Amino acid sequence: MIQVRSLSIKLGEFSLRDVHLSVNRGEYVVIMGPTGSGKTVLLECLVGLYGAESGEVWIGGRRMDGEPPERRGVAYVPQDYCLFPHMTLADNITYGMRLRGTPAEERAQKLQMLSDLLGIGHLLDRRPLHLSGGERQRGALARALAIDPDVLLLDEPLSAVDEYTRDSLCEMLKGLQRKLGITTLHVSHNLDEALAVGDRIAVFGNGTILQEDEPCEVLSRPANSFVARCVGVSNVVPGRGVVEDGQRWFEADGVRLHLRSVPEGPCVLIVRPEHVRPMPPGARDRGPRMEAVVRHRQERGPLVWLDLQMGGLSLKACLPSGAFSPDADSLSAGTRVDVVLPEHEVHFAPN
Amino acid sequence: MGALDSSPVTDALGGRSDRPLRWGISLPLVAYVALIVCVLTANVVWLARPHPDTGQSYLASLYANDALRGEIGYALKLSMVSSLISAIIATLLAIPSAYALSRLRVPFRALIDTIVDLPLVIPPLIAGIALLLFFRQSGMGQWIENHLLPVVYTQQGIVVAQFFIASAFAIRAVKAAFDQVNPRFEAVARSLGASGLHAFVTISLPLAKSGVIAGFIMTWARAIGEFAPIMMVAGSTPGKTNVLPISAFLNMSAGNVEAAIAIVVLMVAIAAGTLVLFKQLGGQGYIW
Repeated sequence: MIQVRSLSIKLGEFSLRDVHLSVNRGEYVVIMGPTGSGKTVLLECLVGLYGAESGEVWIGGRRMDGEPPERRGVAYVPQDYCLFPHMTLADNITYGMRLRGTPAEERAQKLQMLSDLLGIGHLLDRRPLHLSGGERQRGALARALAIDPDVLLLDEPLSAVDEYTRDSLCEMLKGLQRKLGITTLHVSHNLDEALAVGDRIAVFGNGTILQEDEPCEVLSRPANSFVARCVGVSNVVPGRGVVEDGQRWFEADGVRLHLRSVPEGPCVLIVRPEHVRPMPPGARDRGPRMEAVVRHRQERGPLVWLDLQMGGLSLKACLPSGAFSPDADSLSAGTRVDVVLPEHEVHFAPN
Repeated sequence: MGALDSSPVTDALGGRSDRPLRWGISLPLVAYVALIVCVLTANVVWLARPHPDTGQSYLASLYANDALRGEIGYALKLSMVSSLISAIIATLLAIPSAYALSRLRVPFRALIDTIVDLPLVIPPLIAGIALLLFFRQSGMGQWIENHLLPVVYTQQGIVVAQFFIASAFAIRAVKAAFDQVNPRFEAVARSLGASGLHAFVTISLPLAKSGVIAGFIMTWARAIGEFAPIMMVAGSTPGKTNVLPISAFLNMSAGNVEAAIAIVVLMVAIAAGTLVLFKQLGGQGYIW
């Protein structure tokens, strides 16, 4: 449905280069990346606010770069929602339909349908100034959906709502998207949000898309260290793979790990903190193990985070706290432990 | 005052020990406000004192003088009509110009911006002489004089002189209004299917409306108060090009101090009314 090919834009301090992205019909894709990385620029380029320097944008099988926004069939919900302040919510929602000359009766039906769906029926006579953040968000969504767009573009739609509301809005967004089958591109810097709604995640950084894949694939096999940090993998260790006598080793900071999957030459080892298993010395578990010391222990509700030091190398481990796992209690700061890295959870990326 | 107090004021010096400092800071303000009020009331009081011959107030005797009443009436009408015409033209020109300056990536934008500000900074008399030279001596100006619109020493000249300076005001004010409107509103409108023009007319223009109206009012106020350029371009022919300020000047020169002061009071009243209207419409102090 959306095809972006080798798109490059230069816009003030932002520059996008060689962006490739493809979103299938009816799919929900989240573009994830740190704040200020130019995600919004990419979205607004799809809307048609900026012309590209080079590259192509295809939407619904038609080439759209160079077409004005009104011909793209793309509904856009900006981060600040931008409900027109001089119109009531109802007039905001029907704005697009009025432009299209939709008959009044049909407009009223659609308004009714959308306001029921989004639970904003009682707010229709209000001006945006008198709506809360969540109400504005749903209003802006209704306005976008009212034109039956081919594509829905959401820019940080949940950044202005509190965490509690975010969960329920995530469910609502996903449910709505499933129900209406709208191809959706959603920009976010929040991993939880991306995982909650995305069929696929595209990680954006340094002005381009670094990895585009299903959520669990991005989580477990990040393409590089930037993507890894972006999706919450705190263990990214640069080092090199060495082959000796047919055995493969990963070397970093004077530590040697026997890992069969390591490629030869410089690379980064990537392992999620929840896959790093510290255990009392002598306990039996499969996988390469090494001695380590617990440097620091931090309780965060149901989870315990440990900083593990092995030679010059430090790794973070995350495990359920004592109430959930008896092992965790014994792992206080200063304890000597054996660390096991399950072979199939360790992933290597080019440095 | 109510509606006039547009912004809430927090008192930074509220404590007892701050009292001397408070007075020290407020004194220049109080003195200046007192000066303005005294100067203006002196004129009103002067007009209100009884005339030695008639026993009536000066104002009443002035009003009784048909010739003078006719002259001031004519000047008032001429001022009103010419300033309204030039303010309307200036604002109509300012809307697209200000929008372009505010939104479009215009080449040589900084240069254009500076040139637009020039008429505000050039002394009005100098602008008037420059205009006169343009229409009398330059090929283009002469062509306009001969083929399009006779300007020099005509009533049209009044409008041209007012327009030349007031347009810069209008563009500044309207640009400030457009700058306040988030450009994303238009972006959203366009994504919903509006053409660029339609988005401008239904979104940006209504959102900038009060700023545009406030700009129009200040433009008009500037136009009605214009003196030197009109004197240069349109001349000061009584019964033809004597707008209020010129009429005040002519009366003052001829020793008709009462008539001049009557015009002063009239124009102060117009200015005060304009300011109140401007502030009611949410105008900000960006004009001067």
